[in-house]
Amino acid sequence: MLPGLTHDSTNAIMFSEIFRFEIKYRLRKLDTWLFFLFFFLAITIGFALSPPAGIRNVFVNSPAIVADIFTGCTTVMMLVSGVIMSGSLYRDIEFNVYESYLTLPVSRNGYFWGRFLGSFLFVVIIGSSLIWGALAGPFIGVRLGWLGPDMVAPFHWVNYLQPFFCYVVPNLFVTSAIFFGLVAYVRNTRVIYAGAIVLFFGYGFAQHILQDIPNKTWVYLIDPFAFNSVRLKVSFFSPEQHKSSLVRLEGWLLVNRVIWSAVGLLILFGTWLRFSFTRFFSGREKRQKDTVEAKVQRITSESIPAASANFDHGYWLPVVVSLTRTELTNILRDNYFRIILLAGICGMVLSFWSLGPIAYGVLDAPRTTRFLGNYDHNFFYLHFLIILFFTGEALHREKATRFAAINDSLPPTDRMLYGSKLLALLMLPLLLSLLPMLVGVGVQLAKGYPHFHLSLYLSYCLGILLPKCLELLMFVFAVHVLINNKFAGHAVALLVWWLLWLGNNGAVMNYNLLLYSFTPSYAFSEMGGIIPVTKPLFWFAMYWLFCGGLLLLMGSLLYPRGVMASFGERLRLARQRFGIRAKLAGAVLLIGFLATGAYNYYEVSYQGTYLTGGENIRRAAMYERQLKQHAGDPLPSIVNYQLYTDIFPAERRTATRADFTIVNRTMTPIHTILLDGDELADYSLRCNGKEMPVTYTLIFPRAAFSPFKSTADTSMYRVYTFPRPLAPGDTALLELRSTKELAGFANKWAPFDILGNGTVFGGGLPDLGYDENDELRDPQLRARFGLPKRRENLPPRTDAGGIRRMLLTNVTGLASFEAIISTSADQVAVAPGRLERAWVDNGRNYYHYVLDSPKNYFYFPVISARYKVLRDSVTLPDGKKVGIDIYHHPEHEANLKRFSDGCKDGLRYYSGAFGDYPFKEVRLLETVTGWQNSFPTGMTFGENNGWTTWFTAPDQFDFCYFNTAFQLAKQWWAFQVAGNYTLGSQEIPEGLARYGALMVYEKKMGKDKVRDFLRDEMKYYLDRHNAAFGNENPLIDSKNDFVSDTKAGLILYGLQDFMGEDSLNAALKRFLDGYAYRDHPPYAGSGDLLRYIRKMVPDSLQYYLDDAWGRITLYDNKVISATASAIGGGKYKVHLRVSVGKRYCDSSGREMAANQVNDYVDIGIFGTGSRDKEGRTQTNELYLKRYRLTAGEHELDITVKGDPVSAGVDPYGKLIDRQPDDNTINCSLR
Amino acid sequence: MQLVINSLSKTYPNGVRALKNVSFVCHKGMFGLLGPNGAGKSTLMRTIATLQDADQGTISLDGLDVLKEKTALRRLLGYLPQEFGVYPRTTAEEMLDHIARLKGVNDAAKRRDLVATLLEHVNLTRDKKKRLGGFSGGMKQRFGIAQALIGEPKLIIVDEPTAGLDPAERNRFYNLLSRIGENTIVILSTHIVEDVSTLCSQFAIICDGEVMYLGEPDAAVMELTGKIYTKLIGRESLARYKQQHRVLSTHLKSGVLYIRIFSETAPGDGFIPGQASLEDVYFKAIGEQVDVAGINS
Repeated sequence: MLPGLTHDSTNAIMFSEIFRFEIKYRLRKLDTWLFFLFFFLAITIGFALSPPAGIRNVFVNSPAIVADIFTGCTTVMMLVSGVIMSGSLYRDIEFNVYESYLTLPVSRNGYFWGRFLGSFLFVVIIGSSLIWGALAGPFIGVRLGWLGPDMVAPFHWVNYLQPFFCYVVPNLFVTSAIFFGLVAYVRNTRVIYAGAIVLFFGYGFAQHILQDIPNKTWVYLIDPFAFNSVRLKVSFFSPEQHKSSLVRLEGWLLVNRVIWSAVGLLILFGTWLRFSFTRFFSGREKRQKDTVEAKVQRITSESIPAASANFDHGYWLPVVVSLTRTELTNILRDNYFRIILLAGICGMVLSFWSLGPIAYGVLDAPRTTRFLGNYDHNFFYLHFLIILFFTGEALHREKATRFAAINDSLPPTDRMLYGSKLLALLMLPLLLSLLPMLVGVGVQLAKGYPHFHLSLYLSYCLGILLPKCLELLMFVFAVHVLINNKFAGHAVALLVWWLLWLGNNGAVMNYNLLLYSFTPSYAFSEMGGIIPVTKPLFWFAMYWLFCGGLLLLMGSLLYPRGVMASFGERLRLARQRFGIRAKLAGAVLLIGFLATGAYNYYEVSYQGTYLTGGENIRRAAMYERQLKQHAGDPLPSIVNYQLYTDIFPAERRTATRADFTIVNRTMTPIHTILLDGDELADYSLRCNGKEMPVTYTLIFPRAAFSPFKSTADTSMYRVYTFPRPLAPGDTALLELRSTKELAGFANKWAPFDILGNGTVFGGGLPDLGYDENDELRDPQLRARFGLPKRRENLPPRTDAGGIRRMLLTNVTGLASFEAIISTSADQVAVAPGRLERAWVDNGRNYYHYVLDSPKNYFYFPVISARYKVLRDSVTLPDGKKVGIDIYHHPEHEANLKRFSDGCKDGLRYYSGAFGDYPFKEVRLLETVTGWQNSFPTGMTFGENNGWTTWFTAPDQFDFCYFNTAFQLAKQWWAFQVAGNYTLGSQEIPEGLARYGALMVYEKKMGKDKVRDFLRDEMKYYLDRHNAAFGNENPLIDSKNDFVSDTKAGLILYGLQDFMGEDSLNAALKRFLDGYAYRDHPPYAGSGDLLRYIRKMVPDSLQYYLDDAWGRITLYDNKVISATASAIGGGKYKVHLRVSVGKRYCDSSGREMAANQVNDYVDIGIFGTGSRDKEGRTQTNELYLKRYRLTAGEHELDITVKGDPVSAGVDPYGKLIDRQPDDNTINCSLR
Repeated sequence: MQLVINSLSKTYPNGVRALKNVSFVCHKGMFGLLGPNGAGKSTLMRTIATLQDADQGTISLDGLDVLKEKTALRRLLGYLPQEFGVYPRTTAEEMLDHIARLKGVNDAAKRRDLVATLLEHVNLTRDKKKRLGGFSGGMKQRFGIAQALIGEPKLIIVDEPTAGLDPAERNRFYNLLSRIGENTIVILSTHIVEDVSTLCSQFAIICDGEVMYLGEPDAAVMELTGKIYTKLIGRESLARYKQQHRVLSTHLKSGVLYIRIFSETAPGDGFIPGQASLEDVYFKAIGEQVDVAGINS
């Protein structure tokens, strides 16, 4: 009889008995508590450690964040509900107690509901670990000083209970009902594994799609976990709400909860209706019983044919083959293997197929590098799970099927049994490693993209993925042999893996030599292949493979065969097995492991230096303490710079000699200069031909992981003393020699500047002077090291020192530049200036560039790569011809015309509007890293930025063209006018360039296209504005990119519309003329720019300047209704009700309505659109007029000719509006 | 050819002493191993089959140290465990072929021939392409028998082999086993006394890990002939009879109780002489360890 069951036949009693039994059972089970502990710790640590980066003024445990984290966690807890709910029914089948249930008077209802509710209660209890974790985390965080006390919200139970009951419990209910139903239906727990993995991936993939759904109602509804729904709702929160408001169940969010709870209930009741004991316990169909088989009595004297056994040398090979084949058959015929693999492949195909656009909603070509990057990031853990799961299955197969009793008494030796298991499982890593290539090439072929880089696929799949998968297999194999219990083995392997992963991803101690299977980091590049370096990857792979070999050897010694009574018995057996061959193998592996380990250690911590998180922080503190005294040192100006540099891409090495003519333009003599050669291998400096005495001012204590280095780690910060102080007005000649090369292996990322193909570097110069950016930023860390409060941003606009410095570089003034660069024979080297001469010498390419008239600000990068060059040119209206050279990766030819058009139109517009382009050439270069950048006479675009984008529709935003125009504009706004080193001056290079690009774009594509783009820009600005929680300055003092770039573009574009393009351009030209090529302070700030603009703006529009520059202003304009009635003659009278509002935000993110509003606002009415000859949609403007409107509602009657379709207030989005979407609505016809 | 088991002992970590100083010798032919559940039979058989180590003692097969040279013994062994399973996703034919390979039958043609004959012998020819996961208990048992016979084993160990077989199959299997036993040592573990008496030339009775009796079935019965008496008694008086006599077994039928007792001399008291059987030998042997004559157990 079963414990805890009595013979009462009433439902109520049976239910309570079963319910109680279930609870007792769960309380005794270890996994219940492990799950609880796991989530509790994860949440506690999560809350204690990581304040949401970059968000101020918000509590780390505000109700909105709690709701977000809780819903996110339930997607993982799905797996827990799977394990618990499936166990609740399946264990009766597993332990064969079902016959008792069939004969006992247990009621169906009592059994079903007792089991469900009993188990579900525990799922909820495990779910409650989230509450306790969310309570404990912030508390511990504050106690340990990881969180400031002001970062934690005041305690209210409702902040935790509301998200728990509104989100966690319903989510767990749905998944519990699904898994309970699944097991009741299919009577098998492995379907749970498969189901959970499919659901998990399905959900991950759906998330991907959800982000692209324009109709947000669907996002609210279709997410079973309400994770995205909550995020969406929170995204509309005001800063105040972010801080303290619960994410209430209302509107579509409530509907979501109702729908999904109902789905759970439906599944549960459906299961209940179908549930029957006999079906559940006996299976769907009766297995054929062998009682009715025909018995034919055969003559038994018929002899068994002689087949004598032969165990000579020919025995082992076919036997190992047969054992391996049998094991493979077992794996491959497993339906779950097929399902999981298929699900994985489908996930990969889908994810590669739908890899979203990189920028501006335009799809990118299905490039190998992008796919591999995505794959490496998202699918590797699937590999681990598959390897873990099926290794467990394979190793425990004999025990689980009870074939062990026969198998273990068969003649093959232990080594053969063990080895053939291993051989069969080796197929998994091989298969899994080739998968990305098969899927990737398949998708690329299907999409008609011919550039699949087989060599890149192969080097990743076989060089990186295969060793990693092998290492994982070896690890998992050894763990399973050692633990010798399937579930415990899975748990231990997962836990160890998780800890390793945490170690690698944390910043505290991520030393890869101690984290099994981890290697230095890598990325994929079209131009550069696997970057930055592959050599460490090989040596780390060897190191870990040797380690894995040792694990396997240990496994082979402990491999259980027969009945093992105790671990002691296994140890005894292991000692017996540790014979000469095992010892020999062990010695070879150990030597290999130690030798590769020693080599890697030598490279990482002797040649290179690994610093722990703590050491990095301490060094930053030391840097500031000891070198801050140099922050105010006078710096010499460079007036002439001659660079001789040799680039050796294959060796990752450069050698530089540079001659500088310097002059002291300050009022004080210069005795010393501080140089930072952190990115150089070595450097030396001579002054007027004499070696300059050097002081090593900053000597770090030896790194903890480098005990064999000298105790004092001489940093590359040096103070050079002038033989004779450089008096004001004095000139000197400095000669620098420097080399750059890789210093051993980096633990994570090696530097990206010198690559095999795609070098971009500063010429090999040390940095000049004290750099505030190297200081510790975290206020709490600063307090711990006794450092004073730090100014977080640039100095204020009026700061005298700031005005004397330039934003771009701390070398003030103009310099003439000349460079002779050599590179390998297959590469082209580029530097700013005109190409004076190019020649070949000694098998290397040499280039001589000169940039002397005009002189330029000190920003002269050097680039070298295997380029193909497209040469084009443009003749400007004044007859000047400018050459346009596009240096690109040979495969990337699709969008070259867009880039060159951008150059041509930009040169025409800017030289007309702002003044001459000072050079005879523009170079546009593709680079491996970076997004986009520019330098005198050129600009760079990263390989992800447009080169391979697939433009398919004429309405798509041509960001190649736009970005080119944008970067080109910096030839005026960054390299002619130098912004100063104060708040807001970032607006000059970025904002003015953006304005210029918008105007170029408008001329080419029309106002409609600019409007579409501006709408996206405005949404981007609003998103960032919302996320900043008041950590935003008005434009004139802007410190954020989204203000000085995006918002400035919006405001300047709006301003030209109000005051006239010519008038604004005239103001800008005057500003440029006032500051261009200024060789001495003061340099231009945003106040100066505004001053020039203000002069040209009429009084009636001055309020716009105040709102735009002086405040953070948000309009809240919308059309309430638009009704049109025909009045004959094809004319309509349109009655409009519009509402106008304007709000100002203060520095804490609070909004206040503006007191007096009487602003210019456009009102427009539009007919049916059309398409132009290039297929672009065109707006049919029936009416557009500028009004001056006060705040509040306005009713307008407008007569138009033609059918009105839509009407809008500020329809072109020139004013920054809180809700840009409600500015236009469709007209209803009466 | 002989298998010598010499003072074999085994104690499990939980303190259960599964084997206590077990010694006996098996020759060519069938050797029966009788004993109640939990007597240590399976432990003994697993130990002989190299699946388990003993704490003390030795086993040798024609001078081969079984406990040390496991691989050598495995090459001579045919083993049918009491409880075993199969790979559910392979077919009977594939699996037998596989095992034949492992047992050193390298020649493909011979192996094919062997597998076909074995399948025929155990009446699985029709099901040879079926996956083993779909096999019933009886079919699986017959598969187990087939695999134990592969490779001309010199030592065959079969643990409760007829479980799940119907009488005809059982008969057929025993005939097969007897024939094989002419040239090999067959150790048959069973709790069916009759099987031992009809098949085995030698047998041992094991109880609580100890050998209680060792000998030949006929001789064992002869020893008891004339010393077995039976009587019909009331249920309530069993306790009294148990005090006075060596009660071997009881048999309750339609409310009345037959008892069998062992006595060197005629006990009188209404007892009549009974025909001695191997069952009496068994009950007499294990009766010293367990109460076999109770009616409530």
